[in-house]
Amino acid sequence: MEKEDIENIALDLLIEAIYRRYGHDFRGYSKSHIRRRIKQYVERRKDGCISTLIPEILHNEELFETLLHELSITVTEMFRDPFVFRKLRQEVIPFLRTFPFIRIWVAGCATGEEAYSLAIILKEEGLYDRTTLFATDFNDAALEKAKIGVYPVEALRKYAGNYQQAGGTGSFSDYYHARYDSAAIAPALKNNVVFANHNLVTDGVFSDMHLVFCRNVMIYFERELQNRVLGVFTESLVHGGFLCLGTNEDILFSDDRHSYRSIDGPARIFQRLAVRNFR
Amino acid sequence: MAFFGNLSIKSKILSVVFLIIALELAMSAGAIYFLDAVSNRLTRLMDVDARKMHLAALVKTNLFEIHRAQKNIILHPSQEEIERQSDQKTLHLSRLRLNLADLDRLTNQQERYAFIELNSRLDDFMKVFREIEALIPKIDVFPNGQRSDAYAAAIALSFGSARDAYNRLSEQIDGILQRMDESMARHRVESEDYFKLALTSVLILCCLGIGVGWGAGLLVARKISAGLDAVVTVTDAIARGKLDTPVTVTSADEIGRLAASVKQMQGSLIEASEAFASQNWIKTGIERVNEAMRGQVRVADLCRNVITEIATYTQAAVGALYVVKHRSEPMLAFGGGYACTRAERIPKGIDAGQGLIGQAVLTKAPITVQDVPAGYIKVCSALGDGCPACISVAPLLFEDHAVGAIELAFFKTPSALQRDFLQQVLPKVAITLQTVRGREELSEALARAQVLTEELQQQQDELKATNGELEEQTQRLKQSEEKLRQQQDQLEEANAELEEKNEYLENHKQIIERANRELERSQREIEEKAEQLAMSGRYKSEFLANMSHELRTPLNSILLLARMFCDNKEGRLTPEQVRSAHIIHSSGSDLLTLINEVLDLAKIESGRMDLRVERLDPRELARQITDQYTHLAADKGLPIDVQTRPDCPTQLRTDRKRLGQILRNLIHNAVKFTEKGGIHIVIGRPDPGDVLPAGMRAESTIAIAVTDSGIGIPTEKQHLVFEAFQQLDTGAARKFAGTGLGLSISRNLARLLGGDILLFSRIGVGSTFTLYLPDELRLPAPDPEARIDRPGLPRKIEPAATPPVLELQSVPDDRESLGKDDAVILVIEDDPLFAEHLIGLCRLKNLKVLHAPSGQMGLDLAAAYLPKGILLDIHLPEKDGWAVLEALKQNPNTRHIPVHIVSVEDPDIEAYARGAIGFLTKPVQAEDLERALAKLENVFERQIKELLVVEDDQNLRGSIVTLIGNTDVRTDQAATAAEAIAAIRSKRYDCMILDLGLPDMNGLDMLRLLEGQAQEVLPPVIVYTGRELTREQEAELQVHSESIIIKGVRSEERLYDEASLFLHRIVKKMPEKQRRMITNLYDADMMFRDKKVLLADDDMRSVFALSKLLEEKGIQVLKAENGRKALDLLDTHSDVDLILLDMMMPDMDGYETMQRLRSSEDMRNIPIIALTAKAMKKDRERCIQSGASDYLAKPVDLGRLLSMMRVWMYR
Ligand SMILES: C[S@@+](CC[C@H](N)C(=O)[O-])C[C@H]1O[C@@H](n2cnc3c(N)ncnc32)[C@H](O)[C@@H]1O
Repeated sequence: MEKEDIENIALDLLIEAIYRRYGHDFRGYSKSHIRRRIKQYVERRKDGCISTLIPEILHNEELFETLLHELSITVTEMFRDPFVFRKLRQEVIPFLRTFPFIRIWVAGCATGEEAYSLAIILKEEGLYDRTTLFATDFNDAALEKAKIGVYPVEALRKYAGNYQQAGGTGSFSDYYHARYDSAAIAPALKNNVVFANHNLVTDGVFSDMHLVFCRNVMIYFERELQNRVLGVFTESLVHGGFLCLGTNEDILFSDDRHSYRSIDGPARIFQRLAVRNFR
Repeated sequence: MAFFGNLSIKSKILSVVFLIIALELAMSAGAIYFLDAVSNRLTRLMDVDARKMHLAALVKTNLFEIHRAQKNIILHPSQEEIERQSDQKTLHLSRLRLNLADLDRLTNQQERYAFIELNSRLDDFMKVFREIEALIPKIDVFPNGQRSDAYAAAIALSFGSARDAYNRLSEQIDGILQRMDESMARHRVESEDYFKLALTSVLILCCLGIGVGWGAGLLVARKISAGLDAVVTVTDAIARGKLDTPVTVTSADEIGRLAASVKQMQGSLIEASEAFASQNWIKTGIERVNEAMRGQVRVADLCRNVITEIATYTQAAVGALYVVKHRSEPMLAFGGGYACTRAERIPKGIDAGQGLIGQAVLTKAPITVQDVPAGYIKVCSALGDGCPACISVAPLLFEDHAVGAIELAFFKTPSALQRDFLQQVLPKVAITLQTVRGREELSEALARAQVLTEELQQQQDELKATNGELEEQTQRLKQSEEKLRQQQDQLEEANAELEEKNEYLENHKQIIERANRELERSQREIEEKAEQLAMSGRYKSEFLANMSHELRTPLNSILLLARMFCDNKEGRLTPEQVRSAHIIHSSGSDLLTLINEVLDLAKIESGRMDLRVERLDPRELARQITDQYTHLAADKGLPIDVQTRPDCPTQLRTDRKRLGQILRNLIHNAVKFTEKGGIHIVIGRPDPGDVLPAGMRAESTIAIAVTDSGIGIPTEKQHLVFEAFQQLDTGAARKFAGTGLGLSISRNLARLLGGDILLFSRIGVGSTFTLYLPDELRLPAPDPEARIDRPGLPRKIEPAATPPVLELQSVPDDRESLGKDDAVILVIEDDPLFAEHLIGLCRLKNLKVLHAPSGQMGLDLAAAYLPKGILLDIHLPEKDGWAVLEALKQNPNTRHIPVHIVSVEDPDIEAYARGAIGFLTKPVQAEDLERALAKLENVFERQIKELLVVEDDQNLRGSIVTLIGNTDVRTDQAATAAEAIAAIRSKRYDCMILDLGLPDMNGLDMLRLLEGQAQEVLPPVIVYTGRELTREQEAELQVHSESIIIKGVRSEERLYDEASLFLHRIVKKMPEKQRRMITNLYDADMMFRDKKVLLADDDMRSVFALSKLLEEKGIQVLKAENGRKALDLLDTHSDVDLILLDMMMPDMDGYETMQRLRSSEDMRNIPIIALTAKAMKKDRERCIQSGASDYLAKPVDLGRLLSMMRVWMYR
């Protein structure tokens, strides 16, 4: 047996161990991604290999936490892929306006930039006060950062550019207070944002969402899991609600693809079709 | 005969015709012959016999003439005479000779003798004659007339022998004549006989001819038609599709030829049909294979379907299909098999040229192998196995490329047909396989590409993450050093501080603890007392409430009966009796008033009186008072005047109904106790000198003073008039009968309205009752005690209070005579008398009636007969009306039946919420009942959906109507709230689309008003508004409406969807799951009655949905939109039975809320069910750790929730 095969076995065992011990289910994740991350993790520890990691993980909860963070890529930006947000303003916001109150779910929110970006758009469109934004992630550390909402100033500089491209109508500086080398998101943007821990793989659906944002999360999943998670979104959405995926993701391969119509292709915005159709 | 048979039809017919002609000719010949013979005879008769006779007669005549002439000569022997006579004689003689010659010619043999005789006699005669003649010249006549002798001789001769000869001759002629006559007669008879014979013969001939002709015709016809029939039978059979019917006709005529050609045709038809069947078989097969291929998007499915179909169709025993793969080794991959039992022995992949299949693919030609060697492959079934006889392998060719190959094994060598089929079907399979394979490859490629892009993104993000981390780490390293130093310093400082604080805290703790203990004790005492008080109060009210029930029911009957007697419709009662009935009725009514008042009082005292605050205008009030009471006072001859003072406020917010009740009491009293003078009412601010009730301020108080000029009340009795059941003992007061409750109720009501009634009176001068009310009544937060016992929720009737179970009396109804299309009303009513009354009323309206004396029976009848409408009593044995109503509404089959309540209970909004369409309080007036029935009818007679659009903008209204209107939706429009209210009162709608901004009233207020009035059932409401809503507004709107849509560019789409949903909502169409839910939940629900649940969730929609479902179970639901609000609510409602808590809420989330709750003394044990979208064990543990009793995954499954609630609320 070659080294790589053995490594694969060890990897599978490790994932199984994590699942059985902590309930975190990485079995449906992209194998290559998991392998890369865990190998990197093992290398960084400069000690042992994947197979020796298994017993340690089983007994050492803290170690697991660190591994968990290794497995969660929290890279994000405000107004990441600005054109998506521009489309959102044009195509989705007018429809959301017809609901007296709006519920939005940002799944896999990482450190919260995306949720705050949405908050800014809603604010500018005058919808913020009737919106509740649920921003969830399974990474508690990231969530903590998101709740605090303090980001390095250099990053904000880039975000300002994104904001312009996303069709911002105000001045980006209204939305943060810079202190020294970091900037805090304006409290007014935080009022209606609820950050909570939620694992897309194991946890249940949210109800009556008008917009679900889940970008660059499902790229880490194998097809099977992607399919399942999309099912969760479909169930969470009201009829006529919207789903927005990452620019490199698609619903083309999911069972639920017929429950949606595409609103904008490149921006990956889809609308859940109403099942009841009397026409 | 055979010869005849073989003749052509033409000859056959001709021969018959000839035969008939011949017969005809023969017949004619016979007839002619006979006729001729007859005529001959007749001619002979005429020509010979008659002539003979004639001649004989002529002979005789001539003889006679000759004889006479001779005589004459003799007698007159003058010369000239002689000459003349001689001439005569010669003439006749010559004639005689002629005659005789003629006769001679005619005579036959027999007659000749007579003739010869005659001739001889003639000769004799002639001899005599000549003798005489010879004498004649000798006769000389002498002038004296003397005659010579000759004369004498002549005479002698003449009269002697001549005469004799003549006579003999005559005799002879006569004899001949006679004989002739005889012969003639004989001849005639003979002729006649012969004629008869001729006639008979001709007749016989005729008959014979007809008979023979007919027979021959028949024979020929039979011969022809028999042949034709046989042919027709065959052609018919062919036409019917029976091609193998044998043709039995063998004759050589046309029919024979026809039969022969039919036979030929049959032959070619059989051939054609066989060809057709084969073609058809192939076609069907191809179609089946096509069918099996249709819609297949995966190669594997396609292959399996195709091989199965082909194998079964060709009756192959085993089959396998291989697919050519691009760019892969081996080239052929197993695609699908049929009956491949030993799957492991079937190769998954085959290379080109390898084995038969490989070879077939390589050469692109089919291969058939006969006589398969034993053991080559075995076909197995459960019962045995065997070897196939023939193996057929064929490539699937698409544009001359092999895309796959198929192998089939047969027990029997496949027929040409089967081979044909394979040859035809395989290219089609190849095409489909090609497309599907292409598509699959494409989508696989796409999927691979997608995975690649995703992976790229992954790596990109990962890289960024690693970079970020690295940067962070360096940053952190730098910082941590500094931080460490700082922290050290801080720590030291903090330590010192902490120590100090500790000491201080210790001291304080002791003091507080002591105080706490003290407080607890006193609180407990107070609580006990309060409870005792509450208990006694409640017993009283309950007793009263039950009492009045027991009284009202019989009273209802009494009043109805009395009423019937009063009306005296049949005219059988004496005026005296009618008067008595009137008395019964009026006393009954009085009694009812008393009971109502007692009940009112009990209600006020137990705090169960519901208030509804409305705005009203005091000036308007003054006008109403004048209108209402002028009559009453005028009856007693008293003037009444109402005055509004200028300082009177312009509006008042209070309960209009209760205020009316107080004023009615006061004014009735005033009128009652006043004999002369008048009544004077003043509305305004209190006089500056007035002593106001405690807690009221003059500038926000309105005073209504009712002054009379009656007997007055002595000072020492003044405090008594407000006591219940107290009446002034004075003789004067006695005669004014009354319940004595009025004032007590009024004062209690006034206090309930936040005010009071004060009395100023002087004996003999009059009394003034002044009602003080606050300008604006602010309702206290609902008192929990009072809410538990809300009216309308079925009260548990204490066993002791229930009447002894009576024999249930069923009233005869129409169940025996129900027709299919009859409109049936079900009357559920235990009072037989009243039931009968209701039945009578229904029948009057041509409705059929069913009667059930108990709730359960009512339910059974409703389910069995599905009546059009139900009249329902509340106070029923076994199962009360509320339970019946609920059961009716929970049964999907009876849900739609409109129910109208007729009960002694007070009307209750709750009834409408539970699905009743109307509420009547007994005793009822006939008109009310009629209205109730009309309402029922109105409901069940509708089919077309009614939509009401309330919108002030005409254009928008129009566009909504066009958007939603269609043939089975009737749309009414209203531009103002007033119009809308009027419309809703006038009929039932299935859906209302409501704009909030109406010119005369805000839409929300309108909804509140409509709901509050409880007269009508509100249709499902869709709020369609251009306004932004606050959360509070939305929350309230959610309660009144089904759906809210904010106008905007995209709102019409949604409006259409939602409206259609409500317009076409029928229970039958409800999703099965939901229906089952409704049906299932019914039985186990009783325990939820009167329970109170706090529901904390920030999502108003789910709060609304859930609370509605819970409320349907009789649970009272308190709603909070976040943790903080929940805690606030719990402060005021300590009697909540269970808390449903969403874990994820803004402001204060579920975990924190629970922790706070559990740390408080009161809430330590209250069951909390955590609602969470999280499902991991850890999360659940966290819920439990934070204090949840249980947890439930969102979205909430109602069934699970209810069963969980049953567990936690069970005591
Ligand atoms: C690359 S970030 C995407 C952030 C953001 N949505 C964006 O596009 O900028 C992916 C996030 O998904 C989260 N994630 C991965 N698997 C998850 C799971 N099963 N449940 C919840 N979050 C998950 C990770 O913790 C990480 O924060």
